[in-house]
Amino acid sequence: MQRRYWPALLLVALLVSAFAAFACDDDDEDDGEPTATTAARETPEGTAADGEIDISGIPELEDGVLGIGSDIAYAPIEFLDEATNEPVGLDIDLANALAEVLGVEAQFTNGVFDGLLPALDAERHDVIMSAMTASDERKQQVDFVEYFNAGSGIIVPAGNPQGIQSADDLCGKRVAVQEGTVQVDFLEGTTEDPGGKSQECVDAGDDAITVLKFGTDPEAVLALRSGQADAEMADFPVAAYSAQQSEGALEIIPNQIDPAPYGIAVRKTSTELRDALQAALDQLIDSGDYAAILEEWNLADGAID
Amino acid sequence: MIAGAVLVLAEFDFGTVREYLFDDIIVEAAWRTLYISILAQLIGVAIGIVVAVPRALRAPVLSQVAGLYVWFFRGTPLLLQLFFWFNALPLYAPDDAGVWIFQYRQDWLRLSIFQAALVALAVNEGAYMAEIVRAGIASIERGQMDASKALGMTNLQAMRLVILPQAMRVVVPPTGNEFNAMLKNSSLASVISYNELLFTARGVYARNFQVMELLVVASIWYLAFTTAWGVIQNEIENRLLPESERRGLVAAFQRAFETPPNWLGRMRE
Repeated sequence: MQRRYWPALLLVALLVSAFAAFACDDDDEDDGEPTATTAARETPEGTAADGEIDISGIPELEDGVLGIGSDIAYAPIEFLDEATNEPVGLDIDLANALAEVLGVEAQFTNGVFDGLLPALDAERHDVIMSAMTASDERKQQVDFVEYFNAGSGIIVPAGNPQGIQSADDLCGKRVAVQEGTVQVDFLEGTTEDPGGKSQECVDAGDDAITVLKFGTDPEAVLALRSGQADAEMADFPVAAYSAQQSEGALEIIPNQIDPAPYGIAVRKTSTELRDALQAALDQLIDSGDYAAILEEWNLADGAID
Repeated sequence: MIAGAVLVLAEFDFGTVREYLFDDIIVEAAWRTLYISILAQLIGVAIGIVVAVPRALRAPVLSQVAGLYVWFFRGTPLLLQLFFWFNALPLYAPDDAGVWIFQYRQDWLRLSIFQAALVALAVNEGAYMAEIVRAGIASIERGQMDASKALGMTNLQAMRLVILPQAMRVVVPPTGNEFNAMLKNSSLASVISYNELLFTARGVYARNFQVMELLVVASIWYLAFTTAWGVIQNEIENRLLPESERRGLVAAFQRAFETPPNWLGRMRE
């Protein structure tokens, strides 16, 4: 008789552990999402003074943490270091420097790009820092603190077999891009400004562009390498990096398309946080730390004024 | 939590749902989902039977190969298999080769998005169907096979004419279940940029930021498909029952016309 109790006991044990997992969720974000904490205070001394900007009364920073949502698969802006599996890149260094000025800790949470804005809206992150172009469409949803300039770049197989020299040559080709990016808008248009490059091709009597959309940028690059696409588009520094890392398999078309600023996205209601981040950024620019960080990633070309 | 639900409902825009539910791009994507699901399931069932029979007959070599196939494709994620058919195959395909009429071209392994998605879904489904068909065959008494052979049938004849038809009653319900799952699993093909329903909905909300609204649109379509399939599956299962045990309107009408109901008889008295 006694043996019949054990399935019930097992069930109870499962329920209790599930409940316990929920209960601790607030303290440590150990819920399967790859989370990485980078302690801002561990960066070398001698940079901007700690906590120079008054952050009292900013609800998002009360816990001493600047929670940042990011799609950490976009080298060299943000990517996971091959050896340590920690996030590294321009955005990470800048975020740490900003957090240091604000006297808080920057904490990156990995996510898929097209899910970042909804996650910000649901208050899963304080801000988004993910090489996000401050486009007009996005500005209707969120506010931006602009910090970098980049256009789009096109990469093609080495030797450029299709002879693609500019965006005009993409007509009738298969172009791989990441879902939810400005490259999709560029090729397919937006809700408010439908058409895009593909429509331009058709209007000019050429064939439309076949746009292949993938969840992450490396998947789009893979589609190019495996011959499933004729070209891949991403932000210029990222495309350049992909070409450089491909060991001669891919090359980049040298001209940038539609240069536009990257922005740190904050909710429209987070006005104090936005202003504090802007002040911190200004301070980094004045101190020269901003230029130093860009230089470190070979991205000085994209500096904002 | 309830407060959150109320908040979400207050902000929820039913107008957007109405606007996109029958929007051309969503309807087209819904058909693509249905189309690839039906095709993949049909091929999957065919593969399942072809793979299950040699295993049930314990055919040398063939049954080992079949076992290896089932082991591999049930043992790895469908998501990974999609990447394999789409990317890895052309990337690592050997160069062109061949002599005379036996030619091989590297391009043959460069499957289009649709082909790669279909092959991945069908081959994965085939592995599951093989197990379902195997269970169906196992449910038929061993004596049936012996009796068929005593009548002079070959193994394959016995399978085709005696065992498999009887196994159908066991095979059909889980197969319906598999197709229900297939309708939704086809959304995984979005990782190789196949434009199915969920992928298209995501593309729309990436641009207009109406996330929940578009997800509701997609779920309405999925529910419509699975509900319709539920009705069809019921009818198929019904027809496999002996006539007297059939349920449902169609069967009721048939019975009503074949044998007069009790109350008619009572009226005559």
